[in-house]
Amino acid sequence: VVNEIEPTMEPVGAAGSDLAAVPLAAWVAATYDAHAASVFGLALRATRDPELAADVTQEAFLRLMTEGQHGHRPDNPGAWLYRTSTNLIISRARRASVARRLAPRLLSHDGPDRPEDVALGNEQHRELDAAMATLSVADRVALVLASQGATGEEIAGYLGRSPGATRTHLTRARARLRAAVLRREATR
Amino acid sequence: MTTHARAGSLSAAALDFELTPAERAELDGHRATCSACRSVAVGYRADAAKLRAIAFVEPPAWVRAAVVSTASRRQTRSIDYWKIIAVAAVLLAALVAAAIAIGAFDHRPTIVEVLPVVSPSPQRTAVPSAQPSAVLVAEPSADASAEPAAYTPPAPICPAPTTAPSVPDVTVSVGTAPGQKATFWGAGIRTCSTSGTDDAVPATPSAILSAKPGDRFALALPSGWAFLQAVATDQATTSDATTRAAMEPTDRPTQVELPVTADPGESIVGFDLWIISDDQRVVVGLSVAIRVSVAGSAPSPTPAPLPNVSVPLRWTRVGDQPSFADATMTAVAAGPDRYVAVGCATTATTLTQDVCTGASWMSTDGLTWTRGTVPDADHTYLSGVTAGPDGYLAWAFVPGFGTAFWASPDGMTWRRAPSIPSFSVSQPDGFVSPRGAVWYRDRFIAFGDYGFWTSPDGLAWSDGLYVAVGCDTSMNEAVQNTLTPPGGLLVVHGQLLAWGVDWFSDTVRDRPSMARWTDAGCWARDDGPSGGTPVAMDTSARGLVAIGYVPVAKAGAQQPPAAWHSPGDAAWDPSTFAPRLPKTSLETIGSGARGIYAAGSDATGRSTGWRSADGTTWTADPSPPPGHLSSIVATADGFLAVGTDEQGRIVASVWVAH
Repeated sequence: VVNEIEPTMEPVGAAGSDLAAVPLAAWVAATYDAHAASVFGLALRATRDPELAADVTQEAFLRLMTEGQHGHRPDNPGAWLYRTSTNLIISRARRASVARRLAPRLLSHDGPDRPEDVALGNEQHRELDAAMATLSVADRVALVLASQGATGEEIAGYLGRSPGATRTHLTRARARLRAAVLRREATR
Repeated sequence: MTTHARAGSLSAAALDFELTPAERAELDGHRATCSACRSVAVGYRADAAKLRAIAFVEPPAWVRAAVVSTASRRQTRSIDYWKIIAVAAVLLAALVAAAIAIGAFDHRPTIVEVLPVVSPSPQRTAVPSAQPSAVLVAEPSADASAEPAAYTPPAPICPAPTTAPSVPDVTVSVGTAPGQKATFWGAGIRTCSTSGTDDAVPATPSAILSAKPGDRFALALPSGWAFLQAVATDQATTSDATTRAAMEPTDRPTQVELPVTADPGESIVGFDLWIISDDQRVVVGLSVAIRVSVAGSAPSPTPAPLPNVSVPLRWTRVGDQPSFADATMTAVAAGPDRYVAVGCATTATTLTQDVCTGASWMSTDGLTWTRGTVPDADHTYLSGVTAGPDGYLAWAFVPGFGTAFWASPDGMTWRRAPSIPSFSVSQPDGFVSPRGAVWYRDRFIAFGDYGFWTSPDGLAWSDGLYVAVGCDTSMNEAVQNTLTPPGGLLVVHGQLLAWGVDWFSDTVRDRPSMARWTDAGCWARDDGPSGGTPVAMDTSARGLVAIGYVPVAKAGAQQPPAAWHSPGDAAWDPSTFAPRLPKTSLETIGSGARGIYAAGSDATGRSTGWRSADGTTWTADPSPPPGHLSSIVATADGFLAVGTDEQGRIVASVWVAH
């Protein structure tokens, strides 16, 4: 019995073991090149905010660098980055939400797309992003982790949940996304 | 028979998890005859494929430049100034010890052997009147003599300040008394490009704070600075000072609390602090000290009589009845004259999951249940219910919308509350999923992912649980930011308590988080149980009891179960299990006249039950109900539980224990 969709890309996390002895800067650079697209992609799709996603990406790697600087290079830097960036994404999203709620409404969000919005992708991707926008940040994180090839058990570990709870969470998140996509298709 | 909804659910689950052979056979069997269900599965796969196409995105080039250049700078750093500072601090402490030994100080305070607080008496978290932006609370570690784990402060960001940074004053207070400026004993100051020390000859602190056992020190910084770590030590003027409590807040508060652990008498207490400037350009390792005079012990409360849990419970499954068909019960509440359960009823008319419609049941005897009418609840699982003096409140997360509440005077006829903006998930200020609700004094209090709602009747809702004049209003935000799922609200000893899991903590995995609504109308933070993560909590004859697990940092690893008990305040102790708790998950809990009952399942999915009088020790129930219990309430002589039957059928199930 296998999952219906075989991951077409390697889950983040395999790189790193061969880099244990290299200098810090080289280790950080190699780890960055191996995992930055995964971390930034996760942050971007989960937060839908390119600036916030870049900030999360930078901080995740700086924290990894601090670990390495103190002789604690993770055996699996990809998994370490996933866990750290997942925490950062959700906590930043929460704080951003609170800040928006408490701050005066000085900015209009109804204007033309900002240049960085282009990063959100083409029209087809915008449809998916719009559907994703109806989900909670935790739902989005779980879905993007899955789409990057993480198994259900790995996602449970990144989210700090039991596999059973994660299965329920992810199943419902997929159902919510499907329903949102159908609603958008029905209104076009 | 497999419903379309279950087939859809299995199709979605199969994308990420390996189905059991039985599930696979069930799914394949259903899809063989259901073309619509096959199309649903295709839809799920299409969504997954689209997501994969946009899942990997290269970040802007400046991010790589910033990370790699920072790594290069750190690699070339040749001098570890902090080791120098640490050595200097040890030498300084030895110098002070020598000075004390020869009587160099005019006034030599009594330095007593300080024991960790082990007291059943309630401790109140004091929030001083001068309120900074946030308060975090630390408890002494189980091994009070243990050194705190090595702490690595974050690196200050560049560029460094153009002017030499100065070290801020630290104000220490106890209770509502005015704070005292702590005596400065030394500091190491670090910026992006410089490191240095600013040591002083340690002077005996002049001001004395008055305290009693159970009080807390509140340490405050002026604006522009925040705490990274706080450690309290006794015998602070000697090199062999004993660590008493340590904390590493994650939200960088301007105020932290640490327990007063000194014995009656006068002591010097030292604080080793890491602080950071708001612009993150300056990080300071700071040592300060105060004198404290501790009064006599607080009286112990009269313990409440404990339930007798030696008499076996007899669980009985309430017989199937028409109102149970094609339905799932998720929660139950006990009112003065009835039980009210909520969940959903499968309509099976939609093929895209969430085909349940919100449903309710009412029973006056726990045996015969009647379905209620819940309007505007399509595609919705009602996830919680609670009782108020004039009726009942139910809540749910409505997919694609957000939060919804329903109110009913009798548990039968419900009205959906009009929406307010913070209910909606599409609003930037939406509070998203409802997590719990309780009646407190004169209103319902509910909280979601990001905030609180209040309502006098369950229908008219407003945002926020606003603190009284004189409180720290920013505590609302601080509390909201750390109370995350599972979480809930309780009223213990007449005090509102919100609990959750700060699973966004970057330093402690799944850190428990609790907050109390004090008599003064303020929020005060507690850490909650230590060494694990609660998933359910209830009041007990002696205060509070919680069940949960010990987080494991390995992906997919079994999370060992755990339980804790508390007299109802910030002090928690771990529970013991006899026999030793096997691999099992603890999921729900109920407490009443027959003690406390915790239900869960073992590694094979078989139900397990545990009983305790007060949460200190638990014994296995030899005959737990053979199903999955999702919610338990106490009855006059036992318990009533709702959930799913042992076959996993979609049929509402009720068990009663006498």
